[in-house]
Amino acid sequence: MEDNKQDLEKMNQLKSEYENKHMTEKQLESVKATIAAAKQEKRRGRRKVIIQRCSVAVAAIAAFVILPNTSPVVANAMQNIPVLGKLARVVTFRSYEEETDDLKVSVNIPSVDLIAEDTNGLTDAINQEIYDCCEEYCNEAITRAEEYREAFLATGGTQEEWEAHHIEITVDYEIKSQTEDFLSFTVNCYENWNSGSNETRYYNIDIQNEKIITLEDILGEDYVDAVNTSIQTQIQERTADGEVFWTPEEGGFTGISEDTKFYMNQAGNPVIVFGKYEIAPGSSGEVEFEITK
Amino acid sequence: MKKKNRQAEQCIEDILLENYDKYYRLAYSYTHNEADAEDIVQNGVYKAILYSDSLENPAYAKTWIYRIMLNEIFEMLKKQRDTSLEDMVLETGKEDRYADIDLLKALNSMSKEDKAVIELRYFEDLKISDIAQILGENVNTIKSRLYRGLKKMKLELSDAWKWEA
Repeated sequence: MEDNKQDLEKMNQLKSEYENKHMTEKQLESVKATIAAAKQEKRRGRRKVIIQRCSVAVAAIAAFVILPNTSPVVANAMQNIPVLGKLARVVTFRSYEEETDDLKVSVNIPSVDLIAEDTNGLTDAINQEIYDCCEEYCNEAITRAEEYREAFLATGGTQEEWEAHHIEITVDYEIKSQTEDFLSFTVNCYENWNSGSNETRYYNIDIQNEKIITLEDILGEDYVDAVNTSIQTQIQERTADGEVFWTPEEGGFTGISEDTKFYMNQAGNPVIVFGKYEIAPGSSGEVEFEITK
Repeated sequence: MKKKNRQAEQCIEDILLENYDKYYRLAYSYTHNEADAEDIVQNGVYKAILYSDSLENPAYAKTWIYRIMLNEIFEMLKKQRDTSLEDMVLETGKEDRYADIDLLKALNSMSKEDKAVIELRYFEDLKISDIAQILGENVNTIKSRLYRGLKKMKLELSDAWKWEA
Protein backbone atom coordinates (compact mmCIF):
# COMPACT_ATOMS: atom_id res chain seq x y z
CA MET A 1 0.00 0.00 0.00
CA GLU A 2 1.29 3.42 -0.95
CA ASP A 3 0.94 6.36 1.33
CA ASN A 4 -1.86 8.51 0.25
CA LYS A 5 0.13 11.71 -0.32
CA GLN A 6 -2.70 13.91 0.78
CA ASP A 7 -3.12 11.91 3.97
CA LEU A 8 0.58 12.07 4.74
CA GLU A 9 0.39 15.80 4.27
CA LYS A 10 -2.56 15.98 6.67
CA MET A 11 -0.78 13.95 9.31
CA ASN A 12 2.33 16.10 9.04
CA GLN A 13 0.25 19.20 9.37
CA LEU A 14 -1.33 17.79 12.48
CA LYS A 15 2.11 16.94 13.78
CA SER A 16 3.44 20.47 13.39
CA GLU A 17 0.36 21.77 15.09
CA TYR A 18 1.00 19.35 17.94
CA GLU A 19 4.66 20.32 18.16
CA ASN A 20 3.79 23.96 18.37
CA LYS A 21 3.20 23.74 22.10
CA HIS A 22 6.15 24.71 24.27
CA MET A 23 6.77 25.29 27.90
CA THR A 24 7.63 28.86 28.76
CA GLU A 25 10.95 29.82 30.31
CA LYS A 26 9.14 30.26 33.59
CA GLN A 27 7.56 26.82 33.41
CA LEU A 28 10.93 25.29 32.67
CA GLU A 29 12.36 27.04 35.70
CA SER A 30 9.73 25.45 37.89
CA VAL A 31 10.45 22.04 36.35
CA LYS A 32 14.06 22.52 37.39
CA ALA A 33 12.95 23.56 40.85
CA THR A 34 10.81 20.45 41.06
CA ILE A 35 13.78 18.27 40.16
CA ALA A 36 15.80 19.90 42.92
CA ALA A 37 12.95 19.50 45.40
CA ALA A 38 12.49 15.83 44.53
CA LYS A 39 16.19 15.21 45.00
CA GLN A 40 16.13 16.91 48.35
CA GLU A 41 13.10 14.93 49.44
CA LYS A 42 14.86 11.75 48.40
CA ARG A 43 17.99 12.64 50.42
CA ARG A 44 15.99 13.90 53.36
CA GLY A 45 14.22 10.55 53.50
CA ARG A 46 17.63 8.99 53.92
CA ARG A 47 18.80 11.20 56.73
CA LYS A 48 15.63 11.37 58.68
CA VAL A 49 17.00 8.95 61.28
CA ILE A 50 18.26 11.48 63.74
CA ILE A 51 16.05 14.44 63.25
CA GLN A 52 12.76 12.66 63.54
CA ARG A 53 10.94 13.73 66.64
CA CYS A 54 8.18 12.05 68.41
CA SER A 55 4.74 13.49 68.76
CA VAL A 56 1.61 11.80 69.88
CA ALA A 57 -0.59 10.74 67.01
CA VAL A 58 -3.68 9.57 68.73
CA ALA A 59 -5.93 9.65 65.69
CA ALA A 60 -3.61 7.40 63.76
CA ILE A 61 -3.57 4.74 66.40
CA ALA A 62 -7.24 3.99 66.01
CA ALA A 63 -6.67 2.84 62.46
CA PHE A 64 -4.32 0.13 63.59
CA VAL A 65 -5.26 -3.42 64.38
CA ILE A 66 -3.86 -4.59 67.67
CA LEU A 67 -4.03 -8.17 68.77
CA PRO A 68 -4.71 -8.68 72.43
CA ASN A 69 -1.86 -9.52 74.72
CA THR A 70 -3.14 -13.02 75.06
CA SER A 71 -1.86 -14.02 71.64
CA PRO A 72 0.58 -16.96 71.48
CA VAL A 73 3.33 -14.61 70.37
CA VAL A 74 2.97 -12.60 73.54
CA ALA A 75 2.76 -15.62 75.75
CA ASN A 76 5.98 -16.79 74.21
CA ALA A 77 7.64 -13.44 74.62
CA MET A 78 6.67 -13.26 78.27
CA GLN A 79 8.75 -16.31 79.03
CA ASN A 80 11.84 -14.49 77.87
CA ILE A 81 11.62 -11.44 80.04
CA PRO A 82 15.07 -10.32 80.97
CA VAL A 83 15.13 -9.70 84.67
CA LEU A 84 17.28 -6.75 85.52
CA GLY A 85 18.50 -7.18 89.00
CA LYS A 86 15.82 -6.79 91.58
CA LEU A 87 14.74 -3.33 90.70
CA ALA A 88 13.82 -3.08 87.10
CA ARG A 89 12.93 -5.07 84.10
CA VAL A 90 11.87 -4.53 80.54
CA VAL A 91 8.88 -6.49 79.44
CA THR A 92 7.19 -6.87 76.14
CA PHE A 93 4.14 -4.79 76.64
CA ARG A 94 2.45 -5.46 73.36
CA SER A 95 3.39 -7.86 70.64
CA TYR A 96 1.69 -8.60 67.39
CA GLU A 97 2.27 -9.66 63.86
CA GLU A 98 0.22 -8.88 60.86
CA GLU A 99 0.82 -10.32 57.46
CA THR A 100 -0.96 -9.66 54.21
CA ASP A 101 0.01 -10.71 50.69
CA ASP A 102 2.53 -7.98 50.33
CA LEU A 103 3.20 -6.53 53.75
CA LYS A 104 4.44 -7.96 57.00
CA VAL A 105 4.30 -5.99 60.22
CA SER A 106 5.99 -7.37 63.28
CA VAL A 107 5.93 -5.43 66.51
CA ASN A 108 7.29 -5.90 70.02
CA ILE A 109 6.66 -2.82 72.05
CA PRO A 110 8.65 -2.82 75.28
CA SER A 111 7.64 -1.39 78.57
CA VAL A 112 9.78 -0.57 81.57
CA ASP A 113 8.77 -1.97 84.89
CA LEU A 114 10.46 -0.43 87.90
CA ILE A 115 9.90 -2.33 91.08
CA ALA A 116 9.45 0.62 93.34
CA GLU A 117 6.59 2.13 95.21
CA ASP A 118 6.74 5.50 93.62
CA THR A 119 8.60 6.34 90.45
CA ASN A 120 7.43 9.93 90.11
CA GLY A 121 5.41 8.86 87.12
CA LEU A 122 8.66 8.37 85.24
CA THR A 123 7.97 4.88 83.98
CA ASP A 124 4.46 5.81 82.97
CA ALA A 125 5.77 8.73 80.97
CA ILE A 126 8.49 6.67 79.34
CA ASN A 127 6.16 3.82 78.58
CA GLN A 128 3.59 6.10 77.09
CA GLU A 129 6.24 7.73 74.95
CA ILE A 130 7.57 4.41 73.76
CA TYR A 131 4.12 3.17 72.99
CA ASP A 132 3.11 6.28 71.09
CA CYS A 133 6.33 6.34 69.11
CA CYS A 134 6.04 2.71 68.12
CA GLU A 135 2.48 3.12 67.01
CA GLU A 136 3.21 6.31 65.15
CA TYR A 137 6.15 4.76 63.41
CA CYS A 138 4.12 1.74 62.39
CA ASN A 139 1.35 3.82 60.95
CA GLU A 140 3.77 6.01 59.08
CA ALA A 141 5.69 3.00 57.83
CA ILE A 142 2.51 1.43 56.53
CA THR A 143 1.58 4.68 54.79
CA ARG A 144 5.07 4.84 53.29
CA ALA A 145 4.79 1.26 52.09
CA GLU A 146 1.40 2.01 50.54
CA GLU A 147 2.72 5.10 48.81
CA TYR A 148 5.65 3.10 47.58
CA ARG A 149 3.32 0.41 46.26
CA GLU A 150 1.21 2.99 44.50
CA ALA A 151 4.24 4.61 42.92
CA PHE A 152 5.69 1.24 42.01
CA LEU A 153 2.52 0.12 40.27
CA ALA A 154 1.96 3.54 38.72
CA THR A 155 5.41 3.52 37.18
CA GLY A 156 5.11 0.20 35.45
CA GLY A 157 5.68 -2.42 38.14
CA THR A 158 3.38 -5.42 38.22
CA GLN A 159 1.59 -6.80 41.26
CA GLU A 160 3.80 -9.92 41.16
CA GLU A 161 6.97 -7.85 41.06
CA TRP A 162 5.66 -5.84 43.96
CA GLU A 163 4.91 -8.86 46.09
CA ALA A 164 8.44 -10.11 45.47
CA HIS A 165 9.67 -7.11 47.48
CA HIS A 166 8.60 -8.75 50.77
CA ILE A 167 8.05 -5.49 52.55
CA GLU A 168 8.57 -5.84 56.27
CA ILE A 169 8.07 -3.36 59.06
CA THR A 170 9.62 -4.28 62.38
CA VAL A 171 9.54 -2.69 65.79
CA ASP A 172 11.66 -4.31 68.46
CA TYR A 173 13.90 -3.48 71.38
CA GLU A 174 17.37 -4.32 72.55
CA ILE A 175 18.82 -4.13 76.03
CA LYS A 176 22.23 -2.53 75.91
CA SER A 177 23.22 -2.93 79.53
CA GLN A 178 21.79 -3.52 82.95
CA THR A 179 23.20 -3.07 86.44
CA GLU A 180 21.78 -2.38 89.85
CA ASP A 181 22.11 1.31 89.08
CA PHE A 182 21.00 1.81 85.54
CA LEU A 183 19.13 0.35 82.66
CA SER A 184 19.96 1.16 79.06
CA PHE A 185 18.01 -0.04 76.09
CA THR A 186 17.01 0.94 72.58
CA VAL A 187 13.77 0.76 70.68
CA ASN A 188 14.38 -0.03 67.04
CA CYS A 189 11.97 0.65 64.24
CA TYR A 190 12.86 -0.34 60.73
CA GLU A 191 11.58 -1.03 57.25
CA ASN A 192 13.49 -3.55 55.21
CA TRP A 193 13.11 -1.58 51.98
CA ASN A 194 13.80 1.93 53.11
CA SER A 195 16.79 2.27 55.41
CA GLY A 196 16.38 6.03 55.39
CA SER A 197 13.42 6.00 57.70
CA ASN A 198 14.84 3.57 60.21
CA GLU A 199 14.69 4.94 63.68
CA THR A 200 16.42 4.04 66.90
CA ARG A 201 15.52 5.59 70.20
CA TYR A 202 17.73 5.39 73.26
CA TYR A 203 16.57 5.11 76.84
CA ASN A 204 18.93 5.35 79.78
CA ILE A 205 17.32 5.15 83.15
CA ASP A 206 18.85 5.79 86.54
CA ILE A 207 17.13 3.13 88.61
CA GLN A 208 18.23 4.40 92.01
CA ASN A 209 17.07 7.95 91.44
CA GLU A 210 14.30 7.12 89.04
CA LYS A 211 15.23 9.55 86.36
CA ILE A 212 16.53 9.68 82.80
CA ILE A 213 20.32 9.78 82.69
CA THR A 214 21.88 12.70 80.84
CA LEU A 215 25.46 13.02 79.66
CA GLU A 216 25.90 15.75 82.22
CA ASP A 217 24.96 13.31 85.00
CA ILE A 218 27.79 11.02 83.99
CA LEU A 219 30.48 13.40 82.80
CA GLY A 220 29.82 16.56 84.78
CA GLU A 221 29.27 20.16 83.78
CA ASP A 222 31.92 20.26 81.10
CA TYR A 223 30.50 17.25 79.34
CA VAL A 224 30.19 18.97 75.94
CA ASP A 225 33.89 19.78 75.72
CA ALA A 226 34.88 16.42 77.15
CA VAL A 227 32.81 14.53 74.62
CA ASN A 228 33.83 16.68 71.65
CA THR A 229 37.52 16.40 72.48
CA SER A 230 37.26 12.67 72.93
CA ILE A 231 35.37 12.16 69.67
CA GLN A 232 37.76 14.37 67.69
CA THR A 233 40.71 12.42 69.01
CA GLN A 234 39.02 9.13 68.21
CA ILE A 235 38.13 10.30 64.70
CA GLN A 236 41.80 11.13 64.10
CA GLU A 237 42.94 7.76 65.37
CA ARG A 238 40.33 5.85 63.41
CA THR A 239 41.00 7.85 60.25
CA ALA A 240 44.63 6.82 60.56
CA ASP A 241 43.40 3.23 60.71
CA GLY A 242 41.61 3.71 57.41
CA GLU A 243 38.08 4.50 58.56
CA VAL A 244 36.31 7.20 56.54
CA PHE A 245 34.62 10.19 58.15
CA TRP A 246 33.20 13.25 56.47
CA THR A 247 35.00 16.51 57.16
CA PRO A 248 32.98 19.22 58.92
CA GLU A 249 32.64 20.95 55.50
CA GLU A 250 31.14 17.78 54.04
CA GLY A 251 28.62 17.62 56.85
CA GLY A 252 30.73 15.59 59.24
CA PHE A 253 31.21 15.88 63.00
CA THR A 254 31.17 19.41 64.38
CA GLY A 255 30.19 18.79 67.96
CA ILE A 256 27.49 17.15 70.00
CA SER A 257 24.12 18.70 70.62
CA GLU A 258 21.20 18.18 72.94
CA ASP A 259 19.88 15.56 70.59
CA THR A 260 23.02 13.47 70.50
CA LYS A 261 22.15 9.85 71.14
CA PHE A 262 23.94 7.56 73.51
CA TYR A 263 23.56 4.38 75.46
CA MET A 264 25.38 3.05 78.51
CA ASN A 265 27.69 0.12 78.15
CA GLN A 266 28.13 -2.45 80.87
CA ALA A 267 31.18 -0.58 82.21
CA GLY A 268 28.98 2.44 82.85
CA ASN A 269 30.55 4.55 80.12
CA PRO A 270 28.35 6.45 77.70
CA VAL A 271 28.64 5.38 74.08
CA ILE A 272 27.77 8.16 71.65
CA VAL A 273 26.00 6.97 68.53
CA PHE A 274 25.71 8.70 65.18
CA GLY A 275 23.19 7.44 62.70
CA LYS A 276 23.99 6.19 59.26
CA TYR A 277 25.05 9.11 57.00
CA GLU A 278 25.21 11.48 59.93
CA ILE A 279 28.96 11.98 60.09
CA ALA A 280 30.29 9.32 57.73
CA PRO A 281 29.34 7.62 54.45
CA GLY A 282 26.47 5.16 54.58
CA SER A 283 28.86 2.25 54.21
CA SER A 284 30.05 2.88 57.77
CA GLY A 285 26.55 2.34 59.12
CA GLU A 286 26.07 3.67 62.62
CA VAL A 287 29.21 5.09 64.16
CA GLU A 288 29.89 4.75 67.89
CA PHE A 289 32.33 6.39 70.30
CA GLU A 290 32.82 5.21 73.84
CA ILE A 291 33.59 8.10 76.16
CA THR A 292 35.62 6.91 79.13
CA LYS A 293 34.99 8.72 82.36
CA MET B 1 23.98 6.86 47.83
CA LYS B 2 24.96 3.90 45.69
CA LYS B 3 26.78 4.61 42.48
CA LYS B 4 24.18 2.79 40.44
CA ASN B 5 21.37 4.84 41.96
CA ARG B 6 23.23 8.07 41.44
CA GLN B 7 23.75 7.21 37.78
CA ALA B 8 20.10 6.32 37.32
CA GLU B 9 19.05 9.60 38.90
CA GLN B 10 21.43 11.60 36.72
CA CYS B 11 20.27 9.76 33.63
CA ILE B 12 16.63 10.50 34.45
CA GLU B 13 17.37 14.14 35.17
CA ASP B 14 19.12 14.48 31.79
CA ILE B 15 16.19 12.91 29.96
CA LEU B 16 13.70 15.13 31.78
CA LEU B 17 15.60 18.29 30.92
CA GLU B 18 15.96 17.22 27.32
CA ASN B 19 12.35 16.18 26.75
CA TYR B 20 10.16 18.28 29.02
CA ASP B 21 8.50 19.88 25.99
CA LYS B 22 7.51 16.47 24.66
CA TYR B 23 5.77 15.55 27.89
CA TYR B 24 4.16 18.95 28.00
CA ARG B 25 2.65 18.77 24.53
CA LEU B 26 1.53 15.20 25.08
CA ALA B 27 -0.21 16.30 28.26
CA TYR B 28 -1.63 19.37 26.56
CA SER B 29 -3.12 17.29 23.75
CA TYR B 30 -5.26 15.65 26.42
CA THR B 31 -5.99 18.50 28.79
CA HIS B 32 -6.25 21.36 26.23
CA ASN B 33 -5.29 23.47 29.16
CA GLU B 34 -1.86 24.82 29.97
CA ALA B 35 -2.11 24.84 33.73
CA ASP B 36 -3.21 21.19 33.89
CA ALA B 37 -0.57 20.16 31.39
CA GLU B 38 2.07 21.83 33.52
CA ASP B 39 0.78 20.12 36.66
CA ILE B 40 1.05 16.77 34.93
CA VAL B 41 4.63 17.38 33.89
CA GLN B 42 5.55 18.66 37.35
CA ASN B 43 4.05 15.64 39.10
CA GLY B 44 5.67 13.28 36.63
CA VAL B 45 9.06 14.94 37.03
CA TYR B 46 8.79 14.77 40.81
CA LYS B 47 7.91 11.08 40.83
CA ALA B 48 10.54 10.16 38.27
CA ILE B 49 13.31 11.66 40.42
CA LEU B 50 11.91 10.47 43.74
CA TYR B 51 11.59 6.87 42.57
CA SER B 52 14.61 6.82 40.27
CA ASP B 53 16.22 4.14 42.48
CA SER B 54 13.50 1.72 41.47
CA LEU B 55 14.50 1.89 37.81
CA GLU B 56 16.47 -1.32 37.30
CA ASN B 57 17.82 -0.64 33.85
CA PRO B 58 18.71 2.87 32.62
CA ALA B 59 18.10 1.65 29.06
CA TYR B 60 14.39 1.79 29.87
CA ALA B 61 14.53 5.27 31.39
CA LYS B 62 12.92 6.96 28.40
CA THR B 63 9.95 4.66 28.17
CA TRP B 64 9.68 4.56 31.97
CA ILE B 65 9.30 8.34 32.14
CA TYR B 66 6.75 8.34 29.33
CA ARG B 67 4.82 5.77 31.27
CA ILE B 68 4.86 7.91 34.40
CA MET B 69 3.68 10.91 32.39
CA LEU B 70 0.88 8.98 30.70
CA ASN B 71 -0.26 7.68 34.07
CA GLU B 72 -0.37 11.25 35.32
CA ILE B 73 -2.34 12.28 32.23
CA PHE B 74 -4.85 9.45 32.62
CA GLU B 75 -5.15 10.22 36.32
CA MET B 76 -5.92 13.85 35.50
CA LEU B 77 -8.53 12.84 32.92
CA LYS B 78 -10.25 10.72 35.52
CA LYS B 79 -10.42 13.69 37.88
CA GLN B 80 -11.64 16.01 35.14
CA ARG B 81 -14.31 13.58 34.05
CA ASP B 82 -15.55 13.57 37.59
CA THR B 83 -15.68 17.33 37.87
CA SER B 84 -16.05 19.38 34.72
CA LEU B 85 -16.82 17.55 31.55
CA GLU B 86 -18.36 20.60 29.93
CA ASP B 87 -15.38 22.87 30.38
CA MET B 88 -13.21 20.38 28.59
CA VAL B 89 -15.46 20.08 25.58
CA LEU B 90 -15.65 23.83 25.27
CA GLU B 91 -11.92 24.26 25.36
CA THR B 92 -11.25 21.58 22.78
CA GLY B 93 -12.41 23.60 19.83
CA LYS B 94 -10.45 26.71 20.61
CA GLU B 95 -6.93 26.11 19.45
CA ASP B 96 -7.64 24.18 16.28
CA ARG B 97 -7.67 27.04 13.85
CA TYR B 98 -5.05 25.75 11.48
CA ALA B 99 -5.20 21.99 11.57
CA ASP B 100 -7.79 19.89 9.81
CA ILE B 101 -10.73 20.09 12.17
CA ASP B 102 -12.16 16.70 11.29
CA LEU B 103 -8.84 15.02 11.84
CA LEU B 104 -8.40 16.62 15.22
CA LYS B 105 -11.93 15.79 16.20
CA ALA B 106 -11.31 12.19 15.26
CA LEU B 107 -8.13 12.15 17.32
CA ASN B 108 -9.84 13.63 20.34
CA SER B 109 -12.75 11.25 20.16
CA MET B 110 -10.53 8.16 20.35
CA SER B 111 -9.97 6.19 23.52
CA LYS B 112 -7.11 7.69 25.52
CA GLU B 113 -4.90 4.72 24.71
CA ASP B 114 -5.55 4.78 20.96
CA LYS B 115 -4.83 8.47 20.95
CA ALA B 116 -1.56 7.93 22.81
CA VAL B 117 -0.49 5.34 20.24
CA ILE B 118 -1.17 7.68 17.31
CA GLU B 119 0.60 10.59 18.97
CA LEU B 120 3.62 8.68 20.16
CA ARG B 121 4.02 6.90 16.84
CA TYR B 122 3.36 9.71 14.39
CA PHE B 123 4.20 12.83 16.35
CA GLU B 124 7.06 11.59 18.51
CA ASP B 125 8.36 8.91 16.11
CA LEU B 126 8.61 6.24 18.77
CA LYS B 127 8.96 2.58 17.84
CA ILE B 128 5.98 0.29 18.16
CA SER B 129 7.93 -1.81 20.65
CA ASP B 130 8.66 1.23 22.83
CA ILE B 131 5.02 2.27 22.76
CA ALA B 132 4.12 -1.26 23.80
CA GLN B 133 6.40 -0.86 26.81
CA ILE B 134 5.02 2.53 27.70
CA LEU B 135 1.43 1.33 27.67
CA GLY B 136 2.24 -2.06 29.15
CA GLU B 137 0.64 -3.88 26.24
CA ASN B 138 1.99 -6.24 23.62
CA VAL B 139 3.07 -5.17 20.17
CA ASN B 140 0.02 -6.62 18.42
CA THR B 141 -2.35 -4.68 20.62
CA ILE B 142 -0.48 -1.50 19.77
CA LYS B 143 -0.69 -2.29 16.06
CA SER B 144 -4.41 -2.85 16.20
CA ARG B 145 -4.84 0.40 18.16
CA LEU B 146 -2.86 2.12 15.44
CA TYR B 147 -5.00 0.67 12.63
CA ARG B 148 -8.15 1.54 14.45
CA GLY B 149 -6.96 5.09 15.03
CA LEU B 150 -5.97 5.67 11.43
CA LYS B 151 -9.26 4.26 10.25
CA LYS B 152 -11.10 6.66 12.47
CA MET B 153 -9.06 9.51 11.05
CA LYS B 154 -9.79 8.15 7.57
CA LEU B 155 -6.14 8.19 6.68
CA GLU B 156 -4.38 5.79 4.34
CA LEU B 157 -0.77 5.47 5.26
CA SER B 158 1.63 2.76 4.21
CA ASP B 159 2.65 -0.11 6.44
CA ALA B 160 6.29 0.71 5.91
CA TRP B 161 5.81 4.13 7.39
CA LYS B 162 3.72 2.83 10.22
CA TRP B 163 5.87 0.02 11.52
CA GLU B 164 9.41 1.13 10.93
CA ALA B 165 11.10 3.66 13.09
